[in-house]
Amino acid sequence: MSYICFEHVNKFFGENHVLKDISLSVEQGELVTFLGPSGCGKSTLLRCLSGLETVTDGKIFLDGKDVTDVEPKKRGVGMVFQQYSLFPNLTVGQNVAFGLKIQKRPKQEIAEKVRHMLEIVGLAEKTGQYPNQLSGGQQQRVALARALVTEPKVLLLDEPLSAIDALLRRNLQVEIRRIQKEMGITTLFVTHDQDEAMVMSDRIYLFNVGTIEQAGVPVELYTRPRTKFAAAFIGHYNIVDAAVFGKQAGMEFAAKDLAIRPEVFEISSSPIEREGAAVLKGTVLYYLSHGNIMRYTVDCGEFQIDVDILFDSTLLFDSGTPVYIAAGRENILELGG
Amino acid sequence: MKERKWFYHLILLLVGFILLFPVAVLLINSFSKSWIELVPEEFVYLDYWKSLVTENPEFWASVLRSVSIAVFPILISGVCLVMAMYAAILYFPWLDAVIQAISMIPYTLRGVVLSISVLTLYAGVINRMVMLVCVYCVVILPFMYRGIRNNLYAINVRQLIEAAELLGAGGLYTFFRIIVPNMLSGILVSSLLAFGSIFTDYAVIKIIAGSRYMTAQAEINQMQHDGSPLTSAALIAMFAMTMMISVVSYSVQNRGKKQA
Repeated sequence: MSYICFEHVNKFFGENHVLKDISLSVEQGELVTFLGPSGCGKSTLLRCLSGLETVTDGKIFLDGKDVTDVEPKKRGVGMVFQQYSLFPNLTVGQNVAFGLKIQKRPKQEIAEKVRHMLEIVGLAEKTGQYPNQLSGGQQQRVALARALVTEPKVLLLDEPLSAIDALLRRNLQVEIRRIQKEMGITTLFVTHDQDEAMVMSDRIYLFNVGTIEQAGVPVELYTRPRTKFAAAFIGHYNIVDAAVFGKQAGMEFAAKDLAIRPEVFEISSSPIEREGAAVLKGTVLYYLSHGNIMRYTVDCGEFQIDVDILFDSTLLFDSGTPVYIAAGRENILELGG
Repeated sequence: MKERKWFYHLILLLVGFILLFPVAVLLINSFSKSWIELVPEEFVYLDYWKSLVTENPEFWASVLRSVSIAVFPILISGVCLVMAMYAAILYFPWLDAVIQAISMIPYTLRGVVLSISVLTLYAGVINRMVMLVCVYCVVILPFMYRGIRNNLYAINVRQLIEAAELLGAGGLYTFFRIIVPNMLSGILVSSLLAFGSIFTDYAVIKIIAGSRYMTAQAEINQMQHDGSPLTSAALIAMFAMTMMISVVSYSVQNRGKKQA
């Protein structure tokens, strides 16, 4: 049996069926991400594991034990919330020590563990400060230390970085991953940010309206989305009607829709001759610079295609320029749903 | 922006003047024996103040009565509301609307109407002082409710409780160790507002307790009939006491904010 198992979990909020027969498993020491848009049920599933929500139907197993009806405080989970939820009247040190005090650990041990944990998150010098004297990123690191210090069986991170600005978020992503690997703690991470999920996860479960749309390692999800939703949500895919695309490219496809990543296209002002490639003629509608990447939106008549190329000052196309674009057949994914 | 600064300062000065003028006149009056039209004629400096402190024990007793009659309703109302709001936010969200509706009653049913109604209904059944405390509990509901509710929502009480629960804390421990300390500033501000309302009340106490329970307001009202500057000294003393309570509450609230 896996370390964490959800078996046929259903959850209703009134008439609203939020989780629909969810079954999934997580191995010990893994960092697994629940990814999906707002309202897809990912946070609810996390809260069901923590015990803060009850399941309407189904079973949850943690470390081989059925915890479906176990009180939250007896489950041995640590959780970090989006809004930090630090206790404002307690100092950083007191916040981190809170769980240990509840467990009635010896004072010496508490002091030692708090100091060690604050060193891990790089806030040892802030122990006497109050949460409102810290930045958002620092507060979140304190929340992480508080959740980890009691050595929980599993760490739950409910969109912990969404309230933090982009640069700091990237640093914290690396930081959290480092700490998780160092401590070897099983971690469930909830986010709606696909880039964040890609950077941090061992595996990803992609959620859509209360069901698991697709699961896999990040590279697999990125390169082989199975459904239109997965392709649209992960990787900024071009999703086009297979019949229309096939007609222009002179190809035939069995699927109804196709997904093609922007970076697999080649773009040129002169006709492209590549065997087995879908070559299309179009006009540059507009372009956007993403630093080292130039994104051209090419109008191909009945559909538009985004093309990403590495910035090259000798290869720039203005709006209105007629261009040819080409993508290898092997890079054109036929979608199932 | 810089050019307009003088304008804002002028407005502030004007408002400050309007607010402080009556206090200043009272203060001057408490130092003077007689006036010629708008100008004090003869200053006696601290004579009336000395008299207020040394020869008017009944005034100070009335101040004490005012304070003590304010404490019980604030305590009762505060404890009831904190617990009711806590339960409403955590377990019965629909209850919030009910508590809000009840708390609005004193706005529509003024203290005078309320006290006459209570007196008519319970006269001879309940002790007058108990009746007074109960009426004040209702009168101060809007002040207490608004402050406590806003504070509970501001500290995101549900998530704090969830965080504490996952760390192994029980409900009571969380309530007293986390929730109450974080609500202290809100409770203090609400209590101060309620205290101000009871401390300066004259009508309700007059109707319910009559002249049997002389509060500071009733005492000052009686002193006023003599037309003596002693009344001004008493009023300034009351003002100073209220001011002191405000300053203490404000500093406590700010200390709470620094820690929060």
